[in-house]
Amino acid sequence: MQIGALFGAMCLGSGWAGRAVCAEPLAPKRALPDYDGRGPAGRDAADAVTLVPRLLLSPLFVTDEYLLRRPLAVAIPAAERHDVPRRLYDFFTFGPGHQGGFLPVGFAEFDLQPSYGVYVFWHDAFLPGHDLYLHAETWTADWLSVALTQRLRFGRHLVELQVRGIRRPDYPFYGLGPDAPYAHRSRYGARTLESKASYDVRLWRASHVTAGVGVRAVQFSQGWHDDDRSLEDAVAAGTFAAPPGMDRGYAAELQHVTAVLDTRRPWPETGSGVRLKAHVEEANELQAAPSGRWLRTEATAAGYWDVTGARRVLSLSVAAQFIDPLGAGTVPFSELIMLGGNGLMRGFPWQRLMERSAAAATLRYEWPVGPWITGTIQGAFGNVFEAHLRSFDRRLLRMSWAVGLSSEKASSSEYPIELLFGLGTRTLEDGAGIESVRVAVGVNYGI
Amino acid sequence: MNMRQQTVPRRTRRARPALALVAVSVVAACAAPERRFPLRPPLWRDTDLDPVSIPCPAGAKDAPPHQEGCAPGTYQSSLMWDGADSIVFRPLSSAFRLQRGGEAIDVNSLDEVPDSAWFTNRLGVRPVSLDELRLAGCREEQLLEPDAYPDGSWTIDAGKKGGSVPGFRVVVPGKGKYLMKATQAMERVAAADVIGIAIYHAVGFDTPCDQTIHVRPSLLTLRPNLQYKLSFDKGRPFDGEMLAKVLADTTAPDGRALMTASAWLPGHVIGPFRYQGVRADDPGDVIPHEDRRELRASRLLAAWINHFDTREGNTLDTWLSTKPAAPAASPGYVRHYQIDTSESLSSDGWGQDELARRIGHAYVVDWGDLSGDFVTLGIRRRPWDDLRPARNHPVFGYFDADHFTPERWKNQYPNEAFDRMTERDGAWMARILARFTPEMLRVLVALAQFTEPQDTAYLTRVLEGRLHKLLERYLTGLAPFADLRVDGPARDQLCGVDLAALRGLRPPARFRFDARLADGAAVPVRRLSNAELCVTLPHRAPDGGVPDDAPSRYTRLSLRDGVAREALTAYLYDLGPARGFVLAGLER
Repeated sequence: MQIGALFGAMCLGSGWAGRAVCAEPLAPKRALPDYDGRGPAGRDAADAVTLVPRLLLSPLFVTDEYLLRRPLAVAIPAAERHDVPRRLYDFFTFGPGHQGGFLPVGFAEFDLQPSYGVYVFWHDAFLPGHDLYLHAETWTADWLSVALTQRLRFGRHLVELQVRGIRRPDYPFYGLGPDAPYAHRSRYGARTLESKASYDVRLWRASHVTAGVGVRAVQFSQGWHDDDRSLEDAVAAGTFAAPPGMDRGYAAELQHVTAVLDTRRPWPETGSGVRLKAHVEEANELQAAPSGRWLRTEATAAGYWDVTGARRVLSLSVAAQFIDPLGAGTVPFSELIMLGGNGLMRGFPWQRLMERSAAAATLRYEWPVGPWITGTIQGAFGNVFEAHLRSFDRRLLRMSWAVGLSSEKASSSEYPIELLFGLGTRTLEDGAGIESVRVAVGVNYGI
Repeated sequence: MNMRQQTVPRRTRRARPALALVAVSVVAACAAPERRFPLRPPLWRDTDLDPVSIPCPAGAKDAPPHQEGCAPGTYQSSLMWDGADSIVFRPLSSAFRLQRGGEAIDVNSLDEVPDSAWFTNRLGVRPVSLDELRLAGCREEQLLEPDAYPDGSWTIDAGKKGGSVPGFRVVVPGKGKYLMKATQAMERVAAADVIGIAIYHAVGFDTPCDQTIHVRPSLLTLRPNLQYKLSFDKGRPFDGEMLAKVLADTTAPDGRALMTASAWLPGHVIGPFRYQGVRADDPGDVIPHEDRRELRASRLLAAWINHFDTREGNTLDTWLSTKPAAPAASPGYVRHYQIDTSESLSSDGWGQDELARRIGHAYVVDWGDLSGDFVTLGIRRRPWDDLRPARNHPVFGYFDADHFTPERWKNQYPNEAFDRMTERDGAWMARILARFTPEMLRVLVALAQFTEPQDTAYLTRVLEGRLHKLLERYLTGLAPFADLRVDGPARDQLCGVDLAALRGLRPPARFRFDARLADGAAVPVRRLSNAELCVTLPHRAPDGGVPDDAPSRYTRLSLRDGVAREALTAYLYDLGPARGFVLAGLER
């Protein structure tokens, strides 16, 4: 009966097929005229040559043509006739100008638990320039992330308030130092609650200054993912020493200032220019005795060369990052400098390398692939080191390679949709062989 | 003797029958005999213009009794499916089927398209006067003069259904029904509509009667309880408030609103046609649309005016019954129309600059470009990299001539007929477009009635530039001879015109005409002007003794102009000195 109903739907729904597939008799077709009087051309040699390949490809053709194309040729027009697209659009959006809405999102990456969730946006909520965003993702009962962001744009100025909570069990920890082995990977869980307020002002060209304050509270728990050991088990087995702050959580207030001098201009100008960035963040633990304090500093210098003047941009950047305790306390390990993931050396998985300082040089090439889609390929040399790059040795440098596609971001505070493939190597001293592969796809909000 | 050395591998044994099959097929294909043009007049009228009868469906509510038959069913186009199928599923099916192109089917012995329910030869075969050009698809009595009507005399009796531009249907006393539309940027939209339709009509396509008019709001009377519905939107009331909103976007300081008016097409509307396949319930539709020359070659027409919105949704079929009192009755036939060129002459990317720059150069989702640019790291410079909006002419966006490459033009998503356009199809359309003189272009652009004279000048310049590039590309490959005929009192002159020379694509001295018979013997060419020529054909057959269509009378002449890469081959029957020659066929 279901097949009959489908046949009937095809009969009725496909006006183009009309009565051809139905029970109605059709008038016979007129004879095809012999337009040039020479009769049919007949087959040529190419038809013969393609006979065997066509037979070999016939299963794919049958799948596409009869299992996908023809049923969809009935279903999609029927849905359109019943206003399904408009209903879906009305369901997923709201507001008189559909300036608000929600979308399903997801992210998947090797060696991390995937996530799925919803992204809610409301532009010009209640007044122009006032945007609200809610992003929520989950996977298991241990994995939940919720972020609520409020932005107010007025001219060159942007004020942003954000409250974010994330709980996940699969944060990776490989040990500290430049030669922490990949095989030492363990997992820890953490529950982070963070709120922050920032003010950003656009200056000359793409230059801007951002200042902000916030509070961050972190609690650690036992972690897990696939067959990886928990951090506690790894420490107990003597794989590495317990990282600082592992046995306690912390809550700290933070203040930061970021200054970016960027000489680049938007399209249709070329993408050439120079970018200098300095970032300073001070944190003070709350309610801890003795109170821990630390200072994070970062400096980046980058040159961009638009090779063709059409946004094929080759860039070289050099970055250094430091985190230092102020006073007698230690820096919790989750606040240490990390390489991999969305940060420097993107070919490495998240949090692959951790220590008190890091330096990396990145050669990157970006080019337009399609509307709002950019291709990137990059290679980097770098690693983490002891405080102030004290243990720096070029033999300890690692290489990172990454290639991928990403959607263009309307601003630095938005998240791209990404498809990325990356490779990370061991140190040069160890032969620089490939030690890790990274594949990521989805809306990358970070971990 | 070593048995192992004598054994043929099993895999090879299995492959032998398949290889033999392929080999036999190849040999058979290569050994096909020559296909002679018959001695008969060329086909200039297709049989799909003959009325046919279609049985009414059993239990059809609308079928009056004692009726011979009904019209075909109504086809409702799905914008989403048309896009999805064109972008994803059809290309996959074609790829897996290793579908090969081929020459168009509806081509007569003179390499031309007969008059049919799809196409009527106009500019390509006869002069089109400037008045006829201005009328486009209109008859004189269809032209509207709003100021000649009293207030309230035009009745709005329906809101527009579908599309992205709001509008309404109006009944004009003594004239009939018209679909009227208005939107922002109306001057460019109206210009694109009337100019595009006029061009399509002059070339030979059936089009509605579209015109630009200025309407005073008081002329209109609105019936109550009307609804309108845009694509992907819900039905909304078309009331006084909505009417005022529609008119407000285009009302000039003098209080009149600029609108386009499209006369209701004759006959019973049965929906659009597809650019692929056939309509199963139309007995006259026997050629897959992707193999119709006029549809394939309309790609060049669309390229010329940047009509990137060429899709089934901008076509329309009507059933023309032989009984005007029963429009949905048989016998009759289906007439096929091209409608709505309002997205042409510009590169509106629906407000998105990333798309607008690519309009005409890439599909909205262009798998080839995406994968090619990714794999090659964007080394290849794309046309949109260098595009800048037309300075001082913002209404035209990125529409220009400098970045136009005719053979690489693309509409918004793949169109099967366009994809199958061959060099011969393109050359045919180019031969028609070559007849558009600069004066004709000025008349066409003047239809737009631009407020700014520099916009008129800019558009004329761009259309001329794009036309020149098109002709340069397609009249210098295959031989650009046209109007070929046997002439002279003795009917021994093969005369014609070289359209490349006519358009001045090269200096006259560059054209060196050469005519040769099948055995290589040169035949003198007489040049009547820069572009017109005649070839005196030598008789090699007697006046009688053998049938007129005997192979011995079949003569082949190749003609070159010294510019085009390929020659034209004319096939004639030599009926002897007394009766002269008959032109049987042409091959390019």
